Amino acid sequence: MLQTKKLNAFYGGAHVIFDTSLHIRQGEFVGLFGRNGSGKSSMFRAFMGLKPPLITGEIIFKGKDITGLPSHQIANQGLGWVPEERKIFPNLSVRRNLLLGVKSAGKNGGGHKRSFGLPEAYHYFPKLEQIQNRLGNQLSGGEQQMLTIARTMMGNPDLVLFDEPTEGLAPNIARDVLNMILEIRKDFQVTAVVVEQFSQHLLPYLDRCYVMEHGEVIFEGCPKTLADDEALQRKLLGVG
Amino acid sequence: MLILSLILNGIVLGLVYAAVALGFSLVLGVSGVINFSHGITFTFGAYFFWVLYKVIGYVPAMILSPILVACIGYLVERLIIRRVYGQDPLFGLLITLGFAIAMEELIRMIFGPAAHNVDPPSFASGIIIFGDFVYSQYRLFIAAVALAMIAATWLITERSNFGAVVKAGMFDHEMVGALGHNLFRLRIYVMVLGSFAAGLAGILAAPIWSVKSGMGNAILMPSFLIVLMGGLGSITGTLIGGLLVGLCISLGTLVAPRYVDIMPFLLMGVIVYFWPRGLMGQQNIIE
Repeated sequence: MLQTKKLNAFYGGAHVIFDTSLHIRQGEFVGLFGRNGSGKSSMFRAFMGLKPPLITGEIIFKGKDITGLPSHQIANQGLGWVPEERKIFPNLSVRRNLLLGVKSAGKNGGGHKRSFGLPEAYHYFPKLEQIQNRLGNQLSGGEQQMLTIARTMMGNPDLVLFDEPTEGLAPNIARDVLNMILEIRKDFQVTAVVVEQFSQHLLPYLDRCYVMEHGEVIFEGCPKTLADDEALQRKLLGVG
Repeated sequence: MLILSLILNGIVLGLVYAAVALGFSLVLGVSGVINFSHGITFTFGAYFFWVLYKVIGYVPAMILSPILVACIGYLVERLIIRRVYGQDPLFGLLITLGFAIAMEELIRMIFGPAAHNVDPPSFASGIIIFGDFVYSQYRLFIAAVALAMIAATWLITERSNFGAVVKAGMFDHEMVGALGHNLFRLRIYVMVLGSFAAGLAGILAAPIWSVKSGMGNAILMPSFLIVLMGGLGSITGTLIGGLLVGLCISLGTLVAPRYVDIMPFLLMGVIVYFWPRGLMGQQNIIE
């Protein structure tokens, strides 16, 4: 479904991703792990057509070359992004933030058995219904993250890129958010890639995972191998 | 009665300022460009109207002229402003200021340096008498149209999906694009709407200020101050800012006529000192 070929990314003169090739198959749940600065988020930005970084190489999504396309065209082809910074619009209510996720008619990603709309957003995140008239700048971190995930899902993407969805959340909220991602993914058959520094909790649910370091993929394989590799885990957690 | 008259004049002036400043504010918010060609669109509106109204009549000219100005706004966005998106705001300021100066000279070359008078429409000319108080009917007409423009802008931004995208685009262009909204198209629409509003305001002002090539300068700086005072993208803030500047100028002529030009700047300084994001703003211009 998503494939990169010899992807390189640059921030000005800084080369941050080196000749990286990876692939995500339809229906997969893939983890992309790595320490801060390893190039994980830059990879997502490159997928979404956001600049910076400037990129070379190829990004193929659903068989089409999307390299260099503006982000709205990429999003309308069915790629969704849950950014690390959440990027809630502070001057809009929760409800209007959610509705912004809805794309123009006929542009949503196809192939879903169920469509994700406002009722689904409120079903999976009941808290959002309670605070639907509250402005984006009045939300807690957990509420913002729920809103970001629901807003991205409102576009019914085929593939969702979750960039550190539990970053900065209290452990119990982080667990809830992860569980909700798992549930939505299962119910809506969404292909997903999750970027985390490392998440032991996620490993049992992943189909495959990649580990990045200094802009290069240093591990690709099944989560069990990673779960058994304590040295690599220590490295990812910054204690190795 | 003099004070009442000055207050009303200030309110009318403030509403015209606010109607123009809204376009300036929306373009700045969505595009990140300090569009100093906004004043010249006000001038274009007045000139198109002055040329057309004698030929096709007041109301048709009042409809057609802002449409022509909106077309100019479209071309300015496509040919000039688009080149500076994402760059230092100073580039946008300089390139649009350069364009405005060139257009002002072009207007002067074509129509001459003299001011041209425009009569108010027959349906809004004359005076209204309330007891001992007499007031211009045309100024009340201006206030009504300017209020309608502000209300229409409020309805568009607060009650439509397009408005939600505009408001979102003011805070995060990147995320708006990543949600599948075409930012390029959004910026064109906002520029066209802002130019339309400025052109219409130029028409309204023509019978009072008379039509002259430098009239855009008289509206540009107050618009900029109003955006700073009211807060970027805030309609309520822009309305309050417009009224404050209008009243400041109008009442200033009574209190200290020699210093009236500097008063709005002093007022802006005081407001921005206490509210760096403006009275109702959630971000300031350089954020």
